[in-house]
Amino acid sequence: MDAHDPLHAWRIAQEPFYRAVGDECARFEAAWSRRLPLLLKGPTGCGKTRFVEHMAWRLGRPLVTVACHEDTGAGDLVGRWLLDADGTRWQDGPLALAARHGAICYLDELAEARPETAVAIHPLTDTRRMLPLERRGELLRAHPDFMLVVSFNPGHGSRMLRSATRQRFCGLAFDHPQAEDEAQILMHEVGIDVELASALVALGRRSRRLAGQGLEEGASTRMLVRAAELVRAGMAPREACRMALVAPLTDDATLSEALAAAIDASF
Amino acid sequence: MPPSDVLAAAPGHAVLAPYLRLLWNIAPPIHAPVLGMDADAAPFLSEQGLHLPPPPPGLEGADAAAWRRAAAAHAAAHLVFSRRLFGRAGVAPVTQALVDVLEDARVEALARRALPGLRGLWMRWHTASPADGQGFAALLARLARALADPGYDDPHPWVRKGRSLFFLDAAGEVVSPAQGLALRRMASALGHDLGQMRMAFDPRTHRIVPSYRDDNRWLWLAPEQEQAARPPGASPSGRDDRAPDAALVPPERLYPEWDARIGRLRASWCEVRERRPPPAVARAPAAQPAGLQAALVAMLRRLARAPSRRAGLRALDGEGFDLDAAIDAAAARRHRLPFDPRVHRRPITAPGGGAAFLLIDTSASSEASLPLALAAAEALAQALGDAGWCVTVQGFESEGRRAVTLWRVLDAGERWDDHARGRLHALRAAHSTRLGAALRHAIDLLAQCPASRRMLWLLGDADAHDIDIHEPGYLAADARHAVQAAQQQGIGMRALVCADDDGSAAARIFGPGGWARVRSLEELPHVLGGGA
Repeated sequence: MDAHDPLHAWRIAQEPFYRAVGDECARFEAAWSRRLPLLLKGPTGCGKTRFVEHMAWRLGRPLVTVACHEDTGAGDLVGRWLLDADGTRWQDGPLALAARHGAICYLDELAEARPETAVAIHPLTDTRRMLPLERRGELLRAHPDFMLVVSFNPGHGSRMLRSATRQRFCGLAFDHPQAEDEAQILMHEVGIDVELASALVALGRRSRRLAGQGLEEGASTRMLVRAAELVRAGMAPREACRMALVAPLTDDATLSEALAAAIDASF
Repeated sequence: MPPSDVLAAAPGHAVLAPYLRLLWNIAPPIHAPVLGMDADAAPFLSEQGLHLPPPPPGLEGADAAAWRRAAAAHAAAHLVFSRRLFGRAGVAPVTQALVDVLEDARVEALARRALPGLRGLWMRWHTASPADGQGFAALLARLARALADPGYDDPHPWVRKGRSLFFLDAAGEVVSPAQGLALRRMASALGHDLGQMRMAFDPRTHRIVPSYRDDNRWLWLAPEQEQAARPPGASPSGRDDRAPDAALVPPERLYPEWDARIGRLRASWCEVRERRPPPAVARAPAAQPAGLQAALVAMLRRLARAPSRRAGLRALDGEGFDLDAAIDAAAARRHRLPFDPRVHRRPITAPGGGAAFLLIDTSASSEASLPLALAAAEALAQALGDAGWCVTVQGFESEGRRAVTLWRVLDAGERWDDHARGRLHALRAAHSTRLGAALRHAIDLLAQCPASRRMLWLLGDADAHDIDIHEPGYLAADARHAVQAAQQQGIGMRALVCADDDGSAAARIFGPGGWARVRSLEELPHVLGGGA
């Protein structure tokens, strides 16, 4: 079975934990029912990727994820020729793989990729639903179960997506969860008690006050989960927060000192 | 005393603004000590913000920083939890002193509920004990400690009574909800007991303890007293409308200014005008160290390419094959020879598309360092031109927010020649340093240059000050804001400090890795390579 399923590695076996904060699951399902391309926007680490994983599991579809970076080009998504003992061999890129076999393709932080990458996905996002593989001379028509999801962080210091690209998508806006939801997430993900979860969440929300005032962004839910995990591993909360929050958030000595002092005040 | 000296006298203040923003989401202006303030003055709150004297003698380093944080967090707790209900009229001085102790303990208890770690921050300064005796001041300090430290069990009946009135439980966890009038009645009852004990109280020598606590004048302040409490020179908005020639010179460009005290940009706040330096004679190139130009050009060419990691033809993966490499590899493979697996090609971004702005501080304070800054600018401008960069060179000075002048030495697209060199050396040190406005103007111009790589180099000491700003750190925070905004646009920002100071001003604005000291021209290539 595995040998015949090219998407086997991308299937999600266990339910990824996701705490819905509104009707985003129903909205995703509505988009999925029409196979509409979807744009998820929101700050770093607020749960966009986890949400897509959860929905892919819920819909029973494999999820092909690509974390885009500044060197990601169209060829990285579409595919390329490789050289082996017998000559050249075509290898589908993740986007072509998903489109050919019917997976949800999730392009994380699409705006970070090179500009031509966004253009390459255009034919997949309208009624044509096709992907031209120019180098191979193939016009790949998307599988009926193919869906394209991209994420985008409109925060400080990040690149923007062009309007021509954005307009091809439906959108879901994410934000940091409410305090209570965020505490529940920490408790469920790491198994910490409500007291520590509340203190970590309060600290995370405090750090977000400096977003745009020295920090690009405040602590994400993901960072708080990391801090909680370090506490579970036996570290003192103050040390865990310094390691999980301060060091990754800033290199500025003054802000580091202020964050460390706020951590000391929190525990 | 120029503003920079006030700032230097108050190290460690910069951290307090983000600290209070983190704790309570408030941004009271924090004032350094001003001339005329007693050396042993207590912190105080006024309409202008928090006034923080230096830490008590003997405290240094981490201890001094902890004291400042304790003082700032305590004053902030007043701003968050205190209501200014206390009128002095008809209140006995003893009762006033006790209201201070109780209100201090109340706001700290409320603050600790949200931030339990503050207990440790404050408790270390409570050192009163029965060994201090039973005088009025000692008993007050012991009561303050008993209300702040649940582990401290004072044997004195009066202290115990105060504690039992203040807390609703024996463990000292639940604070009495009394505030305002109820708190005053509590203070009055405790004061009555002190009267019974024939305690002498002298309001003139009374000081609030521990030292981190502010003197609570803010709680009691009557409106007519506020004016008197204003520290000399601290204008609340930093505005100055005296700018003498504002009416004579039409505004050319308006730029916002970041006001850290309100956490906002003041729109259209600074007027920037561009001027050509006075006509100067053309000037031949100055003698430069041998090999300097070649080293600079090589460094700048490398810098222009720095963001592109795609340069280089052969790569392990890429958009397509490098045909020659693929054929070589296939042939080697057939011959069962080792082969180079880098058979792909990555697109190459065109090198050399750099735009640079050299911004020279020509304020009066940079007089000593100006010759070196000008020599460095000359060497850099020439090398940048030779390395294919598009170069702009301007000097700047200011006389208040309405008169920020930028001296156009070299415009983008102009050739670096003897005339430009003459204009550069015609720059003279004068007036002040409104760095933020100058930076914003430079960034504006730089952003208009078509280039894949943009760099701004500031030559000077990055020590921002101006005649209409007396608040330490205000202009530095503004400049830092401008730098961060530029960095978010992808513009490289770097200060080359030609002065012989410790670079702390440059580090504060450009970040720890964002500045470098230049002592001589020979150091320039090395300095440019370091993290630029």
